[in-house]
Amino acid sequence: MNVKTCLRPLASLKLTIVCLTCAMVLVFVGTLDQVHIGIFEAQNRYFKSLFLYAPVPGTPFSLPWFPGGYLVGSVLLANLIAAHVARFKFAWKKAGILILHAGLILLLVGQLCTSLFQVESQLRLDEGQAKTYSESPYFDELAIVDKGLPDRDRVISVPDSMLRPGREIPLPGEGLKLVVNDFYPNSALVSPTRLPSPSYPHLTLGPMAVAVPLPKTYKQDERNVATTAVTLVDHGRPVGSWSLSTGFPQPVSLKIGQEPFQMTLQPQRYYRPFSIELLKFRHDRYAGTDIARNFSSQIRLVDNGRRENRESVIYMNHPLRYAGLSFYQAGFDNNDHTTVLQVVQNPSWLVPYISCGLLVAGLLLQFGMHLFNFSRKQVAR
Amino acid sequence: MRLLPFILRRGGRLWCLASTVARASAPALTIAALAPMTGCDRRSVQVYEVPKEPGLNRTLMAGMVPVPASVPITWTKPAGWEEQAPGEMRQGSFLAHGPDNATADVSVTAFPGAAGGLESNLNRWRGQVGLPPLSGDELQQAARPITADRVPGLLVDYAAPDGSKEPSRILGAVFQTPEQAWFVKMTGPRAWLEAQQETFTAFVQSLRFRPAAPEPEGDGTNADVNLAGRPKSTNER
Repeated sequence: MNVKTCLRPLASLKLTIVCLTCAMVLVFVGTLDQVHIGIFEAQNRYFKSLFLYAPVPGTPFSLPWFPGGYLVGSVLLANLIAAHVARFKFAWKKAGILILHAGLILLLVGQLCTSLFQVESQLRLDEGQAKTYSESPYFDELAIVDKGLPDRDRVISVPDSMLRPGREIPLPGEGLKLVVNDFYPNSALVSPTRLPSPSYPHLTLGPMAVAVPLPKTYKQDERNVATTAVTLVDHGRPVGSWSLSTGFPQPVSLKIGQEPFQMTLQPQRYYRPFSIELLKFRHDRYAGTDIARNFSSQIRLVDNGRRENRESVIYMNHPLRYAGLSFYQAGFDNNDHTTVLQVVQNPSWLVPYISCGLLVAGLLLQFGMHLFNFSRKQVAR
Repeated sequence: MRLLPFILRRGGRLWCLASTVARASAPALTIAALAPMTGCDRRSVQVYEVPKEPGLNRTLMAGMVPVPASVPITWTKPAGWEEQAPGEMRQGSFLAHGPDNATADVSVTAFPGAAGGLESNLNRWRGQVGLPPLSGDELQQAARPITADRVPGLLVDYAAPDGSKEPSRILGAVFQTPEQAWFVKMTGPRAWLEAQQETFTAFVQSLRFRPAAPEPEGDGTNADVNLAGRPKSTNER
């Protein structure tokens, strides 16, 4: 039994049909559910997963009931490659189809790489403000910052996914650990007098605010406000306990030994070796109306490492591309004095362009050859 | 016979149990091998170093006022307000001129800790316009919640009772950050403050707090706490 024979079941056209049908169902169901759970959660549940899961009543488990995007895509990719290997016969007549399928394979691989390696974050800048970091719109981090160094800060970042109640997280540094006492993935900050009763679950953030747990929100225009209560332990002795919230992102100051530290719960930060400053945000409107005509951010990019110091204007469909990052105009706030840039890091951003080029080349070649043969036959008659 | 992977999910983790009675087949094995990968959280504790904020190159545009790192608050000044030099106690000071020579005074002040408590401060304001003091609960009930820079606070509106010799009114906002209590206060004639209510609220909402610099070398990584709120998308028309 040779390789080609082994691959025949995987190269089955029926499998292709099943995969394409599953993909259609996924797109249909995912698009419908996106209304309720938002685009980010819909992508995670339906497309960036091996299976769709349904909870088993009365148990903490859920069971897979339908293949997810990763599984369908992987099988389709394997099916496509197997079909080529099993039935591969090189002939000039089929060169177009081969290029076309190579484009398809590259498209699938590129999409997989994008979903695995793409990192999206947001850069929110007030006019005159410069930042060296962008922030995740979805993930948070507990940042413990060592302020004792002369010119730099050492940040220990604990992702929110690790903040599970009762969990003890060893931190880098001898004898240091974080104990998570409680964690609300989403919460509302209210006045203490608004608590229905003193025993109602809440975490006290200060004299004027307590956090009460809320169900997670999946709305496009809302962000979950995480709140956690943690205890920091140094060599078995508690340094202190604090309640922290992303809705109240003022850092608390503390000392571990003689070293000054700050701790805060904040959106996950992605630091860059360069800074971007917002010089001016413009929100142009059509004359005599309130209808937006153009949004643009005039920024200054400073990268001392690369001796870069230049101005640039980011506007709709005209992102700034720098150091493997793309900065798109995404939003505005604060009476048009604040801009929000979407920062996309996608190492495989070129792949879709190349694969689309291959698809076009394959189609042109295939149909071109047919047209050429057809014309030749017509002339011969 | 085929390999049948049993995959269960609990919390954020996947549990993969492959049946040993079935004959293994390559695709199913691949699935079984891949399944736990998606259950693993790829995020873990990270340690990195970042430059302190003063390390940034800030370029000032013509007309912009440099804000030293030690100034713990910024705002957007409403059109029509005249900025005054900040005093010994005041972080910010403004005059709002209205019709008939009406003038309202706006101040932004900060005091360490809770600055004597919410109750005593709000009752002090009430006393200034001739209103009787209220209990803590009554003060909270009479106030409106407001957030600035995601810091929850209270908005109050105290008007002098009818028949007062000098009719005046106070629009105020109070915020408590971990290190300081912030007071924004607008005092002036009743009618002019009525017209200025929305402007005052917009000014309060434009406040951006920064923690007071704990060390002389200035504020660091966490100094800039301007958190992404709910900005408007440029796709919304």
